Amino acid sequence: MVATPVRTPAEQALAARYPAERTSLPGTADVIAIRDAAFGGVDRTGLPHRRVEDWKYTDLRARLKTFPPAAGAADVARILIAAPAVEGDKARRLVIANGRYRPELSDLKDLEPGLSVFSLATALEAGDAVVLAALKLDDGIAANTAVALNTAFMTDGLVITVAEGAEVARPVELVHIAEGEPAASTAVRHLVTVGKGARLTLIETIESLDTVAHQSNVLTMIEVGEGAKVDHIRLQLEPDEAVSLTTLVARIDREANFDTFNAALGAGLARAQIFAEFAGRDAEAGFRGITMLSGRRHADTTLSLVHGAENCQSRELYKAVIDGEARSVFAGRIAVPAHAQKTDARMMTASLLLSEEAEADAKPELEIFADDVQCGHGATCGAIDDDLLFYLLSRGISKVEAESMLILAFLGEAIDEIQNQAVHDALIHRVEGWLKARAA
Amino acid sequence: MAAVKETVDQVLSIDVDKYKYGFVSDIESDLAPKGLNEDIVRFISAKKDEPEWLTEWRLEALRRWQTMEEPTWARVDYPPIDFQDLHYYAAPKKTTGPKSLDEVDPALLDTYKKLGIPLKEQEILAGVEKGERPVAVDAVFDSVSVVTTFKAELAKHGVIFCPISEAVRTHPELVRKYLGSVVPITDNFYATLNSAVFSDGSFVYVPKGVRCPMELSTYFRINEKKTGQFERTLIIADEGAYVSYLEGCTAPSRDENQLHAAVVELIALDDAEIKYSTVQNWYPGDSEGKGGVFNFVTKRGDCRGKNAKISWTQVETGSAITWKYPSCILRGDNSRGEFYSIAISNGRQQVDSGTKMIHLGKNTSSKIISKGISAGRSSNTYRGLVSVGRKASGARNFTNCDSLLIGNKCGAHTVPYIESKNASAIVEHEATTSKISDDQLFYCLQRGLPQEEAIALIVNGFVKDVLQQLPMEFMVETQKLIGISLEGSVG
Amino acid sequence: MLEIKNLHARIGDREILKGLTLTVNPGEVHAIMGPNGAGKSTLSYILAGKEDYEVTEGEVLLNGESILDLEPNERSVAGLFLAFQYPIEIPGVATMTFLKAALNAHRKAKGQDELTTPEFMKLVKGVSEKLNITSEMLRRPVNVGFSGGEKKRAEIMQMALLQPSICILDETDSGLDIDALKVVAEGVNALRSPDRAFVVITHYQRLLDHIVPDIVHVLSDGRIVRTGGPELALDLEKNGYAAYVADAAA
Repeated sequence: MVATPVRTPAEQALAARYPAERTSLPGTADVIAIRDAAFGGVDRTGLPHRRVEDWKYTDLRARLKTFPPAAGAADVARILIAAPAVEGDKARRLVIANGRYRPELSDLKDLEPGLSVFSLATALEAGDAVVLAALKLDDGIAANTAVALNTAFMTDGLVITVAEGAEVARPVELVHIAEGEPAASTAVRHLVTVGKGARLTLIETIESLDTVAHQSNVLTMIEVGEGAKVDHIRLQLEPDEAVSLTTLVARIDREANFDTFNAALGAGLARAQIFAEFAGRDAEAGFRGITMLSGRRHADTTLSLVHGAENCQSRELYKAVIDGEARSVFAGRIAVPAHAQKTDARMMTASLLLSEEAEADAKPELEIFADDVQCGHGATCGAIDDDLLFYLLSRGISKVEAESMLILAFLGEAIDEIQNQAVHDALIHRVEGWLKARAA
Repeated sequence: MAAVKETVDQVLSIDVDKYKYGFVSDIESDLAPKGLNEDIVRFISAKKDEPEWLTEWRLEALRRWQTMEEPTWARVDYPPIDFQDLHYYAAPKKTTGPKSLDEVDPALLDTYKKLGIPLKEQEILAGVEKGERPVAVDAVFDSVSVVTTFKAELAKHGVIFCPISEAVRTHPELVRKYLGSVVPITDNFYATLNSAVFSDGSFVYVPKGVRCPMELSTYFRINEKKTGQFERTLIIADEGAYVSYLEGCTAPSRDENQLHAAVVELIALDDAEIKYSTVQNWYPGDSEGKGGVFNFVTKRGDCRGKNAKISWTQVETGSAITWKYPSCILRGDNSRGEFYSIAISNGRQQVDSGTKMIHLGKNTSSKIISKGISAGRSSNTYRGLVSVGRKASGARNFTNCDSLLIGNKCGAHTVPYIESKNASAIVEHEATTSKISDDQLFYCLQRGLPQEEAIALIVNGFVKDVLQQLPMEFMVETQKLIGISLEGSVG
Repeated sequence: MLEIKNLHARIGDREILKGLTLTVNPGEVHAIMGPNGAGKSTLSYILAGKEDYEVTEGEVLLNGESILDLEPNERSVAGLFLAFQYPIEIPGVATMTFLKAALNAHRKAKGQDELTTPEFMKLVKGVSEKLNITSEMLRRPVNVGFSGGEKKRAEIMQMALLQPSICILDETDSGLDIDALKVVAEGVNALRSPDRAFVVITHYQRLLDHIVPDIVHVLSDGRIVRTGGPELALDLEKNGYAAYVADAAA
């Protein structure tokens, strides 16, 4: 019954690029086999469209107009003079420019004991067995289009290991920069393993120095070991022309503590995916994020959390502010298998529509097979509360300022959970910049 | 904790085989040959002496259906249905159509009496003297309506209440104007199937400004083996009219699955209100999942006029599989839609049910209260959509979905879709999933209640907000039904 | 100072004010009393400029200028302050941030520079201490987690901070015990001055024992039906509103 649809220009570009590039991409024959399988899946089904449930509100087939060629080498001079996305922090910056890790631009001085950092490309070329094993993902995740494209085209990334018990005091910041014209694509994968009882703060910034339609695809896998504590923050900051696909795959072991925050502040088309799993009991995790949209931007946050072990607690909080003709999507699924008794999960999503043409879609889903659980979700959507606005106005505060205060307060509930002060401040600074631009 | 464990075991061990409406009536039937094709559709249409336009309408639906695929997106799992291995028409032989009660086969009257549905007006009126309110009933047995009570009384008020097959003959202009205007023949696999082969069902028209003087009710009964029941209900409340309607359903316990694919269309014009309540107690199959009704139903209301209101209340305790989303299209400005639901699943039952609230007009409001209870090895999914269109300024929605799990072999799922395209709309959704509170249970036990009674009591408390929406006569019945559904012995 | 002339207003299809006239001069304290549903709260919202109400006829002048076309914030900086009957909670907005934004808006309107943070802190500390508002309360978001009495005290604190020329107190006594009432009344009395006026809206006489009015009006069915001295309030306390409700209905 289902006719094979005509291939879109993006699908044609994909089909042309992969066979031409597969052997020049880093990796042994084993790696090529993994890439082939991943690409084969996408090639068979084409890009997902609105009838594919996971992409219902983000029709990738319709929205992805092109699939530009792979990025060439970046101009180091421009990257050296670029202002950092997060100022004033003490983070160890590791630079990935145009899809390639650049040690010469990175801060590798005095690596803390227990912290090791090396290039994924090197590991793939060497056929590193541990790295190869880590490329294998659960079928459901591996088949996801953004993930499969990352697997097929990944050029580099970082393999970061924190040894058992090591407390890495300085945050590690992965700086992704796209540079140059015309538009190009990058696919980067990071493998982060945090050992038993270890600590790490991992920041990721994704930006572009040029206002062209770069497409970035960043996949970060984090293994949070038993009793480990990991704080992960991603700032997605590309210009409106860009397409940004990001995926976080997190496995949280027993008694571990994991927090992840996603700030969707850039790109005309952005999709942030999170696949997380509690793999051991008594662990805690927080999943939070903000989305700020204007113009015709489209941002999608899709979270799939498997509460796979007993007595784990999670909190999910996603807030979106939508202006202009923009559209925000939140799809969150929490699955609790029968053995995961004493699960405690609370998911909340809220959208603030600031204009007549704005749109918000939400699908907060619970899938529960264990009875002794406390699970809940909430979703709200609306404009700025008239009564709150009136109170502020009645005290002499101008409408624009009052709205800004209320928007900031709305987002603050999520932002204030960020522990790292420098990132918190950098984010507030960006939010204020967005509000100023709106007020102008 | 021990108390909870015991209770859970007890509930698990209870057979759903205690379905009390599982008897078969020995009534001779007029059956269409098995299978579905143009000849069968013409056969049904001819049996009902239908006008040409309706036969054509059915055939168009059939042709469309033959190109469609069964939907697979719901969280239900069942063996493939052989649509050619079913009878699409079954009617008690001695009835050619409902005339007067005296002509109805006494065995049929007995069947309804056993189900607790008196059809003799004298008996009902005897009840009135004892303070009960009269309810007009349309009794549908397999594919035909066997009797409709209080028709004369209703006619005095201008209210038309009759089998739809009769309405096709007596009020063709109304049927032709509204049939398929809410659920078009192309709507979905089961609705299209229904359009091709629908047998009987109720037709209600309440004229301008009339408040229907009594509750209307249809009682559906599947009796014959290997049959599908495809009833079609059409209710129209003209400007300023009000009607409250109740639907009840049962079926015998049979080893094979019975298919029920109904379509209900409601139309509320300016300032009209329709309240539609369902107590669905089709045979759920036995504890091993053998037999039971497949209930694939399309119910939709259209608030076509300004200030119109449509309210759905459903109590779903039966069926092996329930696939059902009573919805409201809020087209008229200031129109209101409500959905109150209790869905209880036990044994191997699978429920995928919810609602759609489509806000199109200005200042439209909707409210969704859904209470799901899963026990045994059942699966219970709430699936709902709240959509606010670009022009629906000032729209409001409030949704509350709570799920209760009894035992850890069952599943409770919540799949809401929220789509807002209007900044002045406010949409609020909240959902929780939990088990029966240990503290509440302990409190009841301490006061001397047996465990199963305590559970029934707590569950009744959990669903109270919805129970209160039911007409008084059915509230008590429903409370009992909840006990039976969960435990088989309580009540 | 404040002149209300033949004010008619409605919400939806319902007319609530039906020709209300009132003149308040500098230095005066007016009490407006009336039964429930007389339109007391409507009057306060209309003066402050809430959108839900539609003025169909009449004028409101503040210092000779019409304010009906002004936004609520413009009315505020023009010197009008409303102490709300139910001050709203604003989660996420810090009280100090809010106070500073409000104060700076007022200073800007007067052509004054923004205060430095230490100056601002000192000012807030000064006004809050008199009203028993602790620094812990000031650290919370606006009105969040405040008791009924705390909310009312916070309203008076804001009034003291913004130094308005006309203060509307909407049922400020509701929900207060006698001790809280005294604190609030003292706060108000401390602000009385020859160039500032008050309109105290209340259902009960007891607030007027503490904030003694110059003139008392009875509002019934959207109109002022009687005006007198403080003795009028005592009369109402004794005899109730029944006579006035009947008058208005006649």
